[in-house]
Amino acid sequence: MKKKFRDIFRFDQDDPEFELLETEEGKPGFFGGWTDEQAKEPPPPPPRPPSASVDENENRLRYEYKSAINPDILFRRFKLGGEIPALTVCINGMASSSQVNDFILRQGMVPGCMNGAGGERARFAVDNVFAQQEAVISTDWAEIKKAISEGRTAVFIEGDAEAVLMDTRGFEHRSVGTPQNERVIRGSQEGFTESVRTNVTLLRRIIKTDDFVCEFQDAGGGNNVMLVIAYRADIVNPSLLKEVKSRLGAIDAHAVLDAGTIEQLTERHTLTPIPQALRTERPDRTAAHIMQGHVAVLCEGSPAANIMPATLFSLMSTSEDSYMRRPLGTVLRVVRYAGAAISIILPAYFIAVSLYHQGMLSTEVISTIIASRQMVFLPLPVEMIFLLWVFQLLREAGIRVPGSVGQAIGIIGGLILGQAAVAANMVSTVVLIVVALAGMGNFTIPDYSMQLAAEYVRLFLVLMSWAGGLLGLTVGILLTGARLASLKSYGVPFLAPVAPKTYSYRPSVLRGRVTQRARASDELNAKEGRK
Amino acid sequence: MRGRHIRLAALLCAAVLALSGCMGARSPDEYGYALVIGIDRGKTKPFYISMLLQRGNGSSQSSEDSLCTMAGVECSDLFEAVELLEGGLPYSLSMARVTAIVFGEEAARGKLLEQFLSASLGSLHIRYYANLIVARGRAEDYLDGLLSELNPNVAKLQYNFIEYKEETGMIPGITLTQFYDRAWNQTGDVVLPLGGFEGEKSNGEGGGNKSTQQQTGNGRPENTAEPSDSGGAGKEEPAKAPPITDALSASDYLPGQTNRQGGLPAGMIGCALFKGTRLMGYLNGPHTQLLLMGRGEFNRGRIQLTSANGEPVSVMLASKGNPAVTLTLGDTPAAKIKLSLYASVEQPAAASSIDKEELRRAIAGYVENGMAAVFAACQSLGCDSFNLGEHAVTQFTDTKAWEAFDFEAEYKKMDASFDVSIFLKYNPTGSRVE
Amino acid sequence: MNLRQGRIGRQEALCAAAIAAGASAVFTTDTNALYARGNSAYLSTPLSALLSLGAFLLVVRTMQRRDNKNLWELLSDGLGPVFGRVAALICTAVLLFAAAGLLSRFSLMLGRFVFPDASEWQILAYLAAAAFVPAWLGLEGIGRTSRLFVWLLLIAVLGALLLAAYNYQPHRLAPFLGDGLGNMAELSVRDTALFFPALMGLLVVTRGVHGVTAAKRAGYGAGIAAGVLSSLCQICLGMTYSYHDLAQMHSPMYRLTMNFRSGGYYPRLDLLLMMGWTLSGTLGAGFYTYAAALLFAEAFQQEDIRPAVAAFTAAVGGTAMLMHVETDFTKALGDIVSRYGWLAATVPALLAAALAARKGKREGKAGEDE
Repeated sequence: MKKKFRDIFRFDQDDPEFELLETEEGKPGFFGGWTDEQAKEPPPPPPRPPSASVDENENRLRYEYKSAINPDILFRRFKLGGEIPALTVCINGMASSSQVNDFILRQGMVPGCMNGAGGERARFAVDNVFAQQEAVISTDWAEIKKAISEGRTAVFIEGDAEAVLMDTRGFEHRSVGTPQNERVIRGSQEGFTESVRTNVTLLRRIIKTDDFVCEFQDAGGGNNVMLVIAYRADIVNPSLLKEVKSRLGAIDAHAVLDAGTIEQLTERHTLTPIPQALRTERPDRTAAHIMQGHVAVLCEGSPAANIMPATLFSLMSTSEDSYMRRPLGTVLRVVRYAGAAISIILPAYFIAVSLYHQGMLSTEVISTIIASRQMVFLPLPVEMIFLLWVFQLLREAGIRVPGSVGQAIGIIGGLILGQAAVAANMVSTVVLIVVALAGMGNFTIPDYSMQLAAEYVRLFLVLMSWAGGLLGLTVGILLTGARLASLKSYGVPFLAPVAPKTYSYRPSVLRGRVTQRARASDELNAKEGRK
Repeated sequence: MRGRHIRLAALLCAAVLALSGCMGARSPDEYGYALVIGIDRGKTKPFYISMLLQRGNGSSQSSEDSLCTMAGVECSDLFEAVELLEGGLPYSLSMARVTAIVFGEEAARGKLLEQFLSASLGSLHIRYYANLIVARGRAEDYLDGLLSELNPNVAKLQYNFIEYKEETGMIPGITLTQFYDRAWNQTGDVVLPLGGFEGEKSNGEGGGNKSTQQQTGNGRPENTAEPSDSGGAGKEEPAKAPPITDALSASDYLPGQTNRQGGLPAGMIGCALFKGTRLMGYLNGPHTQLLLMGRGEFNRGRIQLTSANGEPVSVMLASKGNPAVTLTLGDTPAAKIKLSLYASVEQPAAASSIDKEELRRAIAGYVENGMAAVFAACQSLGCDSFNLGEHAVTQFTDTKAWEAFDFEAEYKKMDASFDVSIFLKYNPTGSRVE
Repeated sequence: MNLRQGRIGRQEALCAAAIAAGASAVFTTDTNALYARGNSAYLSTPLSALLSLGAFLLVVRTMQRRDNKNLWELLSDGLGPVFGRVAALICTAVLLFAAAGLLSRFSLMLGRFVFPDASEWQILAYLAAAAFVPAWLGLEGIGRTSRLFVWLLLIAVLGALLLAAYNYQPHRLAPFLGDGLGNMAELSVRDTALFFPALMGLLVVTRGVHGVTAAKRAGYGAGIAAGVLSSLCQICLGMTYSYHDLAQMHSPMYRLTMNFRSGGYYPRLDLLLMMGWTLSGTLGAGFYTYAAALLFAEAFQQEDIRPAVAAFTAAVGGTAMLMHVETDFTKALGDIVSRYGWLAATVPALLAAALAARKGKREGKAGEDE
């Protein structure tokens, strides 16, 4: 303590604080970044296939995986068939040790198991020695490394310039649980997990058809995670599939950590707040869309699937709508759409009518507004925007604050803060009620992205109403409608099947009958699938 | 590059919006709302305009808080009135909630009404479905009579008037826009509801120089004839004016002459007959019912008959469709109006003691004779209150012929006959307990 | 090429054209000319729609015969490249006038009844922006937006007619033939200028609506729908007001809302209904602007339609502003446009069709989807 105090008055020492940018070379750009002509990245080395020498392969892998400081990488030498030098490479924790021990090492060490192998040792071992359900032979060094990184085990055999890759994944992952953000009262309670294999299994348990395809491919991120493209080959529109694949193939990102990253990297309209893919945590919802001809994309590490394309009506529906009887499902949907409409339009309508068209309000309402605003110092539109912002603040705080305190935030914020704000003459009761109604209406939107997109539209309409009354509101609604109408999600109009009018065996807003033999969605121009 | 374009577009939009301004946005609490406007002749200027202004909402803690306040000023027109009044008020005036415009008798008989309505009232946001009323005496007295603890929400009066019209037929209903559409028409004349102040204020001196005055919601004494506040000289209470009569010389069922106790000092019953934009005469309540039947605006209402043994019998009449009008034009113009009504006798005992056919004839006779008398009265005043002009035009196939035709002259010598069919409802059980 | 045409379905095409034609026919009539000599508008309006459809049919048949893909091809086929461009400019001007007429009328209504404190250019800024954005987004945006809002707009018009129904008196239509059959015929011909531009717009965007045959069907539907709607409006107006009153109103439909039954909330719905109409007007103006820009771009071989859309929107806004200026010149111009606008609307296309038809049939597949 004394030393620290003395050090304050010492002026002959270097600043102990570490500054990262001190180590940078080059000159800073005006808008950020560094420009340095000399600091160019070295060109990547030309790809080399694996060597026939186990030693060489081991040395190369040790170098590239920096095994001296990366003790996770396990290199296990053994004698295949008791004679042939071999090497297993896997990552501790990613590969299941029991599978490696029991089905690779134990079986590989059986004396004489490689008798009759001839020149093709790897092929012989795969066919006769290793009892693994998935075993492929690869000569692509990048693929070998990727397999090792995924948790598979690579086996190098002396004399063969190939590696045997076997699926020994056994890393820890969350078990299948209830979806966190898409709860339903009726319906499946299973949700996706972070393991893409598990997720594919969940889908296959629902879609048990021979044309259900799950294509695995690299997500395109620098972290080498896998993604899965799931679709029904006999139903899906080939053009749609091609478009999805081309966009996914064009991903070249620093890291792909979540399905949300994939969604952002593949969408065309990046600045619009409206989502262009449907994100869901529910396997049943995903399967329902795949059966309609949609394409689902799952990503390793993400407990959600992206369904493409998405329309407004698919974003506004839940799986529960289909599980309820028709009149009940209809009520749910009508309430949901009405809630969304109230959420978006009510604050703006209130502003327009109060500021410009007081004649539309009854005298009682005007008197109530006057009485409630007598001592409020904020102008009405500012008050509205302020309350909308406070509502967002409460909502975000409620999400971030952990566990039991989160509920208290909602109660404190909703009741006490609102009441205190009225008592302090910061806001009026009428506006508070309008904002509360708008907020509740917002929560009826099932999709989280759409809820947030609705915030943008609401604010836009409030500003338009402030500027131009009902005319501004009308123009705002028209512009919003025009934007939605011109928006496309993977080539499919966002407002289909309403605009453009396409055949829909079920009404878009009201619930249709379930007994009808459903066809695939017309707006996808899917092939007729009746399996 | 794209981001720069978007930023530029957003900046441009913001600039345009800022330049376009907010088009006259005002918070509702910056206004005081005029609910009723009264138009009288002024002393020093053409008009004396009075207004009932509402501020409170009825949920105030103190009973002394005023919900309505009255203001008035001498002026050249409504626009000047607004400017002059705003100078003495702590808020701006808004006409967006005006529910009624009341014309004083003197203003209605002269050219003031036409002068007033020829202004562009829409620029003051006056609602076109505001009701028009003619008040016997001065309109400001009538407005004064509307202030009462019985009437915390003056705006609701409009609904009450409409209900009263629908339920009794004792007053007509006309909105500002209907007046505009019909008063300058060649195909009929308007009728306005007639209001008045119970406990007559003296006319002549009038209260034309009243300045802004505050009235509390509880402040009105009930049922007394107020001494005239003529702004200065202490005068003795003037003698009560002789009762007025309507166009058929009836003096009952007129505002100011209903001999009631309690309620609002201002009342409404009967109608004012207009020719164009000028007041020509009155009809009392029952005569208004008959007039409305002929115009096709009658919904339901009660009439009073006298039975053979001299007892009053109340009959509820209800409309059974619009009247069918047959016009004959030419040398002997004639109008035949056929009308059907439902009737139900409100005293079952009396109904059961009277022959149904006789009752039917009595009711039909009452209506036919009454309508004939009303027609004659209107004709003598030159008012086409039965809107026969609208039917006359159907007899012409082109505009030139119609415009060359002088309907007004034709109307003056027109004979009218009325054929009323009564559909009697009766209680088959004869029970007195309904 | 960035002509932003895309592809829209039959319902979208029908809705876009019907909204444009309906808005023009209901809201941009010259009331003084229509009613000053009696009210026969409820007869002349459906006749105008029929005449417009007849002209449309003649043009479409020729396009099918001559395998013309769109209106520009017809104009150049019939009139040659030079006069075809002149005709294209005239047709473009007609479309822009139709758009300006809508914006002008709505800005007048809004300025008179809703925003008396605002100046016309402030209101026009909103309306022009609302017309510009759909035109900028292209045919798909216009078509789908029209399809999206069509029911709302229909309710806004029919709702007004229904709520005022208690006040309808058939005898107010008298004299029933107005000022005679001659006047009725004259009005029928004049008011083709209200219906024909929308149908012409369909012929400009035939590629986007999947060919001339599809455009023909959409045109029929739009013409009939707009004709029925506007006739219904005229009947209801005629049953509410005499011709004398109608001749003095510049916004008879809004005056109709003033006759809703008193009491309750009905009288306060007028502004909401007005906003619905404004939506239809701006969508219609957007359609006209886009069609004009596309015709111009095709006639003068422009690669990108967006500069034309932006320039034409500004021109439409400016023209709408000029329509509010009361000078002898603008009044005279207005009279000429009102009287003879139908000539500019129909003659170029009909003339081109007539001249092209004389050349005989050309083998091709113009009627099928492209």
